[in-house]
Amino acid sequence: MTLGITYLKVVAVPLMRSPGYWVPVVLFPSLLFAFFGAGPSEDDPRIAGFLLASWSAFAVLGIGFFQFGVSIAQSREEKWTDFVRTLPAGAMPKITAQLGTAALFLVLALGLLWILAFFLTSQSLATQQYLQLGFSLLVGMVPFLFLGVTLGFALPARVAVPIANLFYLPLSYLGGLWIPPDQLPKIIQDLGPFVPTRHLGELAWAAVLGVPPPLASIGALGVFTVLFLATAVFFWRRDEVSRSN
Amino acid sequence: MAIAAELCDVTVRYRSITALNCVSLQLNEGEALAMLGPNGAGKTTAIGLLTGLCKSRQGRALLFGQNPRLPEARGLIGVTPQEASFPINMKVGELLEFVRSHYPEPKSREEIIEAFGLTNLLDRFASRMSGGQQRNFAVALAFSGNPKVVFLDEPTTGLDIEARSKIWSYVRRYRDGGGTLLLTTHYIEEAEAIAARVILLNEGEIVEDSSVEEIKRRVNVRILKLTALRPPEIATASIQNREGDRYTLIASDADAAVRELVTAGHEFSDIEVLPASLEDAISIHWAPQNLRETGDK
Repeated sequence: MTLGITYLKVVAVPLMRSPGYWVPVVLFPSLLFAFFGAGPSEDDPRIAGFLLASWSAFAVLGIGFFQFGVSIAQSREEKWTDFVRTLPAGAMPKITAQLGTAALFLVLALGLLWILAFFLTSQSLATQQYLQLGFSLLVGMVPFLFLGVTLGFALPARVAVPIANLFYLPLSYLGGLWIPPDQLPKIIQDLGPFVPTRHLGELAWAAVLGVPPPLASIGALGVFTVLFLATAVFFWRRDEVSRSN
Repeated sequence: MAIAAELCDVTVRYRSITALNCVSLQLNEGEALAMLGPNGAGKTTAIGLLTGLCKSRQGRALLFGQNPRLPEARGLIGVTPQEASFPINMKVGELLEFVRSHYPEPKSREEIIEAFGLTNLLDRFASRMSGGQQRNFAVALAFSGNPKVVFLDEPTTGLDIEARSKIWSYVRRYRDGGGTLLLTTHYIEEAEAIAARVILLNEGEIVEDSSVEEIKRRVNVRILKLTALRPPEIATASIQNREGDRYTLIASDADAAVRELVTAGHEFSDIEVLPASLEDAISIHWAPQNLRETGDK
């Protein structure tokens, strides 16, 4: 437990001191929401709630790609990581610290976005809808954490940022998080069921509508979780083998 | 005496290169052992096995009888890696706390700060310190957990004399207080300053395991460079190299070699006597093909 907190500090503190991490992860979702989401949300509470959910889902993705993707790729190449492996600690405190840090940045990113929405838009969500949105995103984030871990262990540090963005931005668009799905080109709407971000969006939109999350999307996210867990374990093991031999 | 760390017949290969070939060694509790050898001899791999960083294909590594890959087994050790580098955006004081908090009874923060002169560095970002300051801090971290065994992989490379002697005085105090030490180095002088026993590694094999005096006697060879019209063939030195009329000789006793050159009537000029590298010494005393060559002459 104390080691978990020790590791939480060495994961969270450098990220907080690094604008290259927290600007895209914490500020960009709120900034983009203010540019593109606040205008259409001024008068219609339904649209306001819908866009708030979309941009909240976008914020969650950033944590997966940048904390788990880019940061893991960078730390793998640091000699310090090898030194830490000689310290008497197992994998648990390291994993707990990564998850704790993700939760911390989730609270910061969503907190800022929701405060902005409260003042700029006509949203009229009840506390319970906010709670369902927060909970849906916390659970829905899991496959994207594993996708991030996959990228982190698969990519060399120098290409991690551009490649993480190549997943992050197109997936956000394809999933209908920037433009509502029914306004996307037909061909992209048809891709929807195969795009993990679309299912994350479905969970978020259900929350602001106050309806139960669609089972199909929960199932699909479950399938993506298993898939990305498998790729994460594959690339993690590949990294372990190359380090130990 | 109890065995603190042990390699039992380990072999490690990286692709086609054999880093360690059937190596066995024992580090007793309270012992200070130096592992001496040129680059690529396998020193870092041996430390990697004992500190849980690498696995061996054959044989096994043990720390107090346990597998070093288990976190519990590493609770009594401290490590200074060969290349010190620190994560960006973390301060020296924070990293010291981070390492100390892994151990049940760490050294007091003040003792480490005092002993390694860190007082004015605590608020600095570790990755922005000078190379020498980073190395010094890396050694400090190895001792901060109050370990029973310390592994130092070329700890003073790139340090100035003052920083070096400060580190050595701390390491000696640790040794005199009953601490166990495994040190790797290129330099026999470093081994001599701290260790009683020396293991000489070459190309993944232990070629010698004896006292520091014995190894020093054999490692302390000299290189003679001189200009001569005909090859200066003498019994007390061997010709290593020739460029035009400039000859390079290796001798274990430079004085005797010079005396023989003179008494044998060799005409020479511009003689220089230089200390030989460890690689040169190994090539005289331990490499089998060279033994044969000198035997034939």
